[in-house]
Amino acid sequence: MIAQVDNLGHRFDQGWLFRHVAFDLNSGDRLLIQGRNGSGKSTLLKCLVGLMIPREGTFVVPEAIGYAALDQNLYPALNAIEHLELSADLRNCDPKSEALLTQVGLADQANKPCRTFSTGMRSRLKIALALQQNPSLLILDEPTAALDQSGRDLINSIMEVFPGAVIYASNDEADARWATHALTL
Amino acid sequence: MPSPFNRAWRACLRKEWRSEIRNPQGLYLSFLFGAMAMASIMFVTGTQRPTAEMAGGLFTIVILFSALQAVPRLFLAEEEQGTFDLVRQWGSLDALWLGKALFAGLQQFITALVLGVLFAGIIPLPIVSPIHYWLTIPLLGLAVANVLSLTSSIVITAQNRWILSTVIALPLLFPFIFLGISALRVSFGVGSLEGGWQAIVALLMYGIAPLAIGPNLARTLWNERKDPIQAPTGQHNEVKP
Repeated sequence: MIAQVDNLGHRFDQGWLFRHVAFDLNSGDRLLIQGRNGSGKSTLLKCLVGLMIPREGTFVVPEAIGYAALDQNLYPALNAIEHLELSADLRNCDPKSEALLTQVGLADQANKPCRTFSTGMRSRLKIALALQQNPSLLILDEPTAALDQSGRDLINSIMEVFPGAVIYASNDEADARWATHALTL
Repeated sequence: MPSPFNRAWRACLRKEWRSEIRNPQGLYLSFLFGAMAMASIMFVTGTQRPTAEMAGGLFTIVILFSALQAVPRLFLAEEEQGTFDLVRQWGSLDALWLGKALFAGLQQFITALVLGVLFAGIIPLPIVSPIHYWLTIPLLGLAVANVLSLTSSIVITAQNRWILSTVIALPLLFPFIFLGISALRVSFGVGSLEGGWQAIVALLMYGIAPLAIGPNLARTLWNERKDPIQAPTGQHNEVKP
């Protein structure tokens, strides 16, 4: 089993955002998280990644998680290679810059500062950063938002060949085709 | 082959350095605030000859003023520009803090030296003990930067983080004012040399202390992967296959 979530809940001052979230994920599983805006999809993902503390519940996830979210920003002065090197140094792993940038279609933009990147190119770099550590669990928040057709094809290929489990939040009906499980908040 | 910790803090330091070189903010901010404080002080004192204690106090104020915006910005801007979550998920939070704090120290070290040269040229007092002067000035810059790094890292995700970082820092910065004045007045020929050395050593020790505390504090405060909380079992949201 890759991930085990039991009775997870989170609340802000206004009340509970979500409660009683529970699921188990194995290799090959693709869990789609849906819900209206503000239902807590991104918050749930941040709890699983370890960026927020859930108010209740237990969960077990692998140490190495790949996470990419639309609301994450990159360092504007650093280029794509420097991002991958920084990430590798902090995680103590191999940067694999060339292979990852080729995989996400940014090989020819490797030395440009991220401030010159479009939203779609930033999403691609975040995907590369998420894949860097060979995670067994990939968590993607709105993975296809802001991506063009080739970017969507990239996500499609990741969803098809990624050996571990994937949890992704999306409200795009086309993204539901990858899901083996679905959770509505 | 460096250890994972050494590899991580060097990477953070390199990241800060590259960002500063390509998009200068911190050094400019620090120097301009310090230079403005010094110009204001000189304008007010005019042609009057300040006492050694007053000169020491004035320079300490200049150093404080130059650091109070520039150092917290290094930490607080991470959250404001949306990169804190990005870098935090990669782990090595202690090394991340250390890399940033070392860069803040380097920034204030350089600023303090430049301001020290300006101050020596402007202040109408002879520097009787240059070794006290040139040791105190960068140490003061380093120590103030380290304390501000510590307090900024505590409040990085707070809503009123800019105010809090300074408010929390103020009581911790008071000893530096006394130590800075004690060491600098000796450099202007007032007080015993032993007293000056004691103040410099105290400044060094007090300045190093945050570097020992900060990494542990960051590892604890910035890590949201705490022990799970046991919730009462109840209904489950349905996960449809």
